[in-house]
Amino acid sequence: MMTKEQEQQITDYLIFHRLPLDILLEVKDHMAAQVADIQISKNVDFDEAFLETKKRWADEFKMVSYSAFYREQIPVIVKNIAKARNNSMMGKALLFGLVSFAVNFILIYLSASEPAYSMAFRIYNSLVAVSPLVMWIFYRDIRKYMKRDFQYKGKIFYSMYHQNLGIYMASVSIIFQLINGNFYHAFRFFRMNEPVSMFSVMIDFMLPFVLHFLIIFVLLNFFGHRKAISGMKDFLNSSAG
Amino acid sequence: MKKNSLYKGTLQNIILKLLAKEVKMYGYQITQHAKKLTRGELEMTEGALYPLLHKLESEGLIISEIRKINGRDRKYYLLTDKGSRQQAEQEKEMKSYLFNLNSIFNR
Repeated sequence: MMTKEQEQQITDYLIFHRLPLDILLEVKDHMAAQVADIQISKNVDFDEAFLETKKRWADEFKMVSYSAFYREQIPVIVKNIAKARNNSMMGKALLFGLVSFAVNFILIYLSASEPAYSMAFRIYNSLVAVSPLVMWIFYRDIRKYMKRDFQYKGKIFYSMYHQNLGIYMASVSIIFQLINGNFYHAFRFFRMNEPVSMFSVMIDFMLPFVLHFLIIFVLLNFFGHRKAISGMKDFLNSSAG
Repeated sequence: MKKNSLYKGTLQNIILKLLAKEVKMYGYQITQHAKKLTRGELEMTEGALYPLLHKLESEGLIISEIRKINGRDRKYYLLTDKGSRQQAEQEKEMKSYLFNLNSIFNR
């Protein structure tokens, strides 16, 4: 049976390697079971078994860069898990992004004039941009888990979704520049048959699409983060107490 | 995979099959069970196992729940209905694949 101090050694080792809390819980249990098995099978003490376990995991804890939106390096295993999760979320975000693209297109045909389109474009993009803020207001329970983990003095994230939430700050500033810009090329091209550059029309369509995709990705991460926190509620409550 | 890269493409099938048989399992248990069933031949690395478990969870094929066991938090994985259906389908395909391989290599 492992003592509390020995378990804490494993936790400290994983905090040192900056594993987000949700992955830390899983890896800690795996390592603890591994250490206990090595102790029995090789008849060695905790320190020796832990050293062997650390060697087995060494490649997984090498630090690598994560994304253009995130400067700090993360362990290989966290990057691979995040990649597996992100791929699925990006697929969903892409689908919603295409719907958003279609709405933008419909606005062109529903607007009676260029100023009306400009207004509709601004309102629509503002709504998309503030939607994560609405979630923030609506789900009060999650607010205290939006900063880095309190128990470990801000060293680690609560969940692997947590680190993706920073994308919001990057995309929201661009989206507000977009709202204040003059995005009339698509309207003039489709509704007024005016000669406008195809490049400008593409920018008018593609920029909102990419930003909406990113905002939806942030929202999916927000819900993933909330779900991860809810799964760890008992652990977080006992840690806080 | 430490011993045989041929297992790599079938890791998902192996995990789903183990979960179908055992109902719920945690990460370390999956690695040990697979090792035991293959008499030490299949050694799943943690780096292959966990990203795959998270991928399967994000696709809705498995779900997870955290339980406190001997004072330690343990994350168990369980098959969903969608996962059970996919597992049955994949098992059928895998058996047919193995039958065909057997026909080729044992001629």
